[in-house]
Amino acid sequence: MKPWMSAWDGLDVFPAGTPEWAVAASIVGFVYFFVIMPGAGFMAFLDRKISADLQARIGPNRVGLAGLFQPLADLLKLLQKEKRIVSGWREAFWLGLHTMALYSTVAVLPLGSMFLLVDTDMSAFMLFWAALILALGTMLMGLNQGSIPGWFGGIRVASQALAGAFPAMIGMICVGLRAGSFRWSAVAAAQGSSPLHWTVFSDPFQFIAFFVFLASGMVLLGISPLDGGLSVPDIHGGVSSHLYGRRLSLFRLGRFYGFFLWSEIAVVLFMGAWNLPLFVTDAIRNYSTPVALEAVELLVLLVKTGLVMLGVTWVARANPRIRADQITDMAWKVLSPLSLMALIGTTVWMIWVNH
Amino acid sequence: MDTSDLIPRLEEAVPGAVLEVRPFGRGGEISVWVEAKSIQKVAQAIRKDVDFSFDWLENLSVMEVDKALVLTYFLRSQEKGHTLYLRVSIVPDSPEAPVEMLSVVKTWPMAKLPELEASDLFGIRFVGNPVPGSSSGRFILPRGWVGYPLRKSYVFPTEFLNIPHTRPTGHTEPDDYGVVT
Amino acid sequence: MIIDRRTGSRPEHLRTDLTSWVVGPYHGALPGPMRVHLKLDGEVVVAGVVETGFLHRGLEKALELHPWRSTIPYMDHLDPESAVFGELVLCLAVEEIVGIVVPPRAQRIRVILAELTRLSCHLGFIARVARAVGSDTMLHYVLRDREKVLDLLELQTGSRASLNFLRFGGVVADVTEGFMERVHETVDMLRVRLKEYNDLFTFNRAFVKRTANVGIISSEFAKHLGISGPNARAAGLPYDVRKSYPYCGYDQLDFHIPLGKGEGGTQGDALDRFLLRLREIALGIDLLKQAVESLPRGPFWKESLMDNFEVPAGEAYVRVESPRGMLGCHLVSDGGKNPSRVQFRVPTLPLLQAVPDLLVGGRLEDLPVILASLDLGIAEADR
Repeated sequence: MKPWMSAWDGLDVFPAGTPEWAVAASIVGFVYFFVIMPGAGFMAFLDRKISADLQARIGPNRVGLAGLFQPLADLLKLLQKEKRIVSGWREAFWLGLHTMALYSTVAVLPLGSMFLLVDTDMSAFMLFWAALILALGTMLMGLNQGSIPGWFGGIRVASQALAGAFPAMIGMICVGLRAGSFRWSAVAAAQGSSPLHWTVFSDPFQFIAFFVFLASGMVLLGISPLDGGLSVPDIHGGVSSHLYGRRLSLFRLGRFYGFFLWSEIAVVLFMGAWNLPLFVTDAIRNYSTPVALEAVELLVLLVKTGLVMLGVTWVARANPRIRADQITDMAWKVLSPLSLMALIGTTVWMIWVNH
Repeated sequence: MDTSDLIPRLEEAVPGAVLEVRPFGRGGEISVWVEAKSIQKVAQAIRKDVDFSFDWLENLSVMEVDKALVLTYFLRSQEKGHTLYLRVSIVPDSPEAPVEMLSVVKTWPMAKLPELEASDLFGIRFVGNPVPGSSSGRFILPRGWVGYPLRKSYVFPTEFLNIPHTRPTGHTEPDDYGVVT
Repeated sequence: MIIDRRTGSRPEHLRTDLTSWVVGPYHGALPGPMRVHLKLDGEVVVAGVVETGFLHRGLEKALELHPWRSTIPYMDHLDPESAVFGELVLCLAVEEIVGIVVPPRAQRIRVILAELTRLSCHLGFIARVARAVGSDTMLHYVLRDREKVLDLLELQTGSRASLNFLRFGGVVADVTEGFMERVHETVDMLRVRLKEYNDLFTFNRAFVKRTANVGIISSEFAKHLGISGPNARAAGLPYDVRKSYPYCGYDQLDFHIPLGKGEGGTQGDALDRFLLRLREIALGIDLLKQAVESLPRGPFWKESLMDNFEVPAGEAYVRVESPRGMLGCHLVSDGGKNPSRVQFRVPTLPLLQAVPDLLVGGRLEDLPVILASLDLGIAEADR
C-alpha cells in the first residue's frame, strides 16, 4: 500500500496481495455505480417531487412506488432515443471527456473515515480542480455543438467558472487554517458530530466562509438558479440545447454529479463531515465490523449532503434565474471581498480569540 | 375649440388642399377630404397647429370604393383629445396595377407599419417610407405572392410555390351562414 | 416586414466582431411566430430586425367573404388570448352603423366577460414574464389561478378560449345560475393571491434585478410611436379608452387608471410594465365586483333583431381597451350581405416598431424579458 492509500488499511475487504490498481479501480467503480448513480436517481426524484409540491403540481407518480423509478424510466427512454450508434474519434473524444471529468473526481471523493482513496495534504484542492475540469468539460461541450446557443452557453459556463473559482478557493483555505491541513482525515478530525463543533459555527468568519464557499461553488458549477449557461428562455438550454439520447443522459448525470460533489465537500469541510458521536463509533467498533462503521458514516454523510442539496433547490425554486453578468458581478464584487474578509477574520480570530 | 375650426386654418396653410368636409358615420365627427398630392403638407400643418397638434396617427385604414382607394387617417391629439379623420382618394391605372402615394412617416412615425401593411394588401407604394424594401418587398404576405388580396378585383390563386390550392367549385354562393356546400 | 435601424451606425469593418443570430420563428423567447434578426457584440445586442407575417391568415379578407352573422366566430381569432375583445369591437361597430341601442343588462354582461378576459390575459402575461426570467414556480402559480378565471368563462359561455358569445345587439344567453357567486368567490381568491404574488415574486430582489431598467419605454417614446394600453400607462401616459371614449357603460363604473411609478429606478421599464399589470388585475377585481353587484334587470338581447338582420350602408370607427392596448375597428358597409371592409387598429403594431429600439443595448438574456413584458399579440399583428 502506498502512503496515500493508508486509510484503506482499516477496511478489510480485499484479500492480501491484491494489486493497488485493482483496489483503486474497484473502489472507483463501486463508488460510481453504487453511490453516485443511485444517488443521482434518488435525488432527481426528490428534486422533482419537492419542486412539484412547491409549484402546486403533482410531479412524477406513475413509475414504481410514488414515481420513485421515474428517473430510471427517463434514463432508459433517453438511451433508446439514439438514432444510430455513433462511433468514431469524435464520439470517443466526447465520451473520454466525460469519463475524465467524472472519474477523475470520483477517485478523490471523501466518503468516510476509511473510504478515502486519496488522502494527502492536497486532497481538498484536488477536488477543487476536479470541479474546474467539470466546468471545462461543460464549456467544451457547448462550444463543440457548432450552434449559437451552445456557444453562448459554453462561454457563460466558462466565465462563471472563472468568477466562482477564486472565492471558492479562499473559502476552502479558511477551513484549512482551522484544521491545520487539507487532508480529509484532518479536516474531519477538527470537527465533532454536534453542530456546535462544526467548522461553520466555530466562529463568525467561518460562517461567512461557508456561505461564500457554497454560493461560489454554485457559480463555479452553474447550479440553478445561477445557471446562465443552461438558460432556457433565451438560448433554449445553452450547453444542453442540442443534446439527446446517450449524451443527454451523461450530461444530466454530470450536472447532478457537480452539484453532489460540491454539496458533499461543503459538508465535509464545514458541516462535521461523517463524524458520529464518539459512543456510537465505539459501540460499532466494539460490536461489529469496520465495514458497518464505514456504512453508517457514509449514510450520515449522504443524508447531510442531500439536505444541503434540497436546501439549494428550495432557494432555486423560489427565485428566478439570475442573469449571467449579474452572477459574475456578484462573484467578483461580493463573494470575493467577503471571502478575503473571512480569511483575514479567521486568522485574527485564531490568533487572538482561540489562544 | 371644435375640430371644424381647423378647416379655415388648413385652407390658409395649404391653399386648395381641402376638397370637402363630410360627417363621418353617426358619431358626429367630421372627415376632411384632402388632395392626395398635398397630404404631406396637410399633415405637417395639422401636426404643428398650436391649438390642435394632431400628433397621434391612431389608425391608417384603406378601403376600395368604386375603383378608387380611399385612405383614412384617424388622428388624435394626445394632449387636447381632439379627433380628426383625414381622407384621401387615389385611383390606380387599372384594378390590378399598383399605385403611388406619399408617405406621412416624417410627420407621424407610427405610420410606418400600417403603410407597409397597406402596400402589401392594397398595392399602394408609399414614397418616403424609409424602410428598405418597403416599396417592392412584402410585409406580411410571403415573398413572391402575386396580387393585392384586399382589392375587390383580387382573384384567389390556384397555386403558390408549386403547392396547388383549390377552393370548392360548383356552389359558389354561400348560404345564409357563409357555408359553401 | 423589415425593421432595421442602427445597423448603419456601426463601423462596417468591425463586423467580424459581431455575432449574427436569427431567433425564430419558433423560439421560447418569442410571444408567437415572429423572427428577430440579432447582431450581437458579445452578449450585448447592437441591432435587431423584426420580421413578422408568419401568422397572417387573411382575417380582414375572410370577413369580407362572409355574411354579417357569421363574422363573429372569426373575431375570436383576431387575438385568441383575448377573444371577447375582437367580438366586442365588431359588435360595437355594427351596432353603431345600424343604430342599435344595446340593453343595459347585455352591456353589463359584456363588461363582465371583457374584464374576466382581461384578468386571464394579464395572468397569462405574468406567466410569460415568469417563464422569461426562469421562475417556474411563479409560472405554475399564475396558471393555476388563470384556470379559475377560464372556468368562469366556461360556466357563462360554454367555452374557455373562443367564446363566440356576443351578438349584434346583445349576448347569446343570460347569466348562468350561480355565475355571480362564482365571480365573487374567484375575485376574492385572486385578491388574496395577488398579495401572495407580491410577497413571493414582485419584491424578490432577484426578480427586480432581472426586470428593472430593462427595455425602457419613456413617455416621449410612447407618444412618438403611438403606443397605447398598459405599456403606455406604465410609461406615464394616462390614456385609457374606457375613460376617454367610454363604451358598454364603463362611465357608470367608478375606477381610476393606474400609472407606472418607476419603482425599479426608471419609469416605463419592464418592472413597471409588470407591476402595472398587477395593478390592473386589482382594478379588474374592483370592476368585476361593481359590475356584478349592479347588474341591471331586463333583456339580454335586442329581440327585434331576430329575423332579417340587415346592415345599411355606412361606416363606423370604434375603439375598445383590450388587454394589450387600444383596439380599433373601422367598419364599412355598402348595404350588402357581407361587410364591405373591416379594418383593425391593433395595439401590437406600434410595439413591434418599438422592439428594435428596446433591444439595442440590452443583453441577450434581456431579450425574452423585454418581449414578454411588452405583451405582444402576434396573432392580432399579423391578422
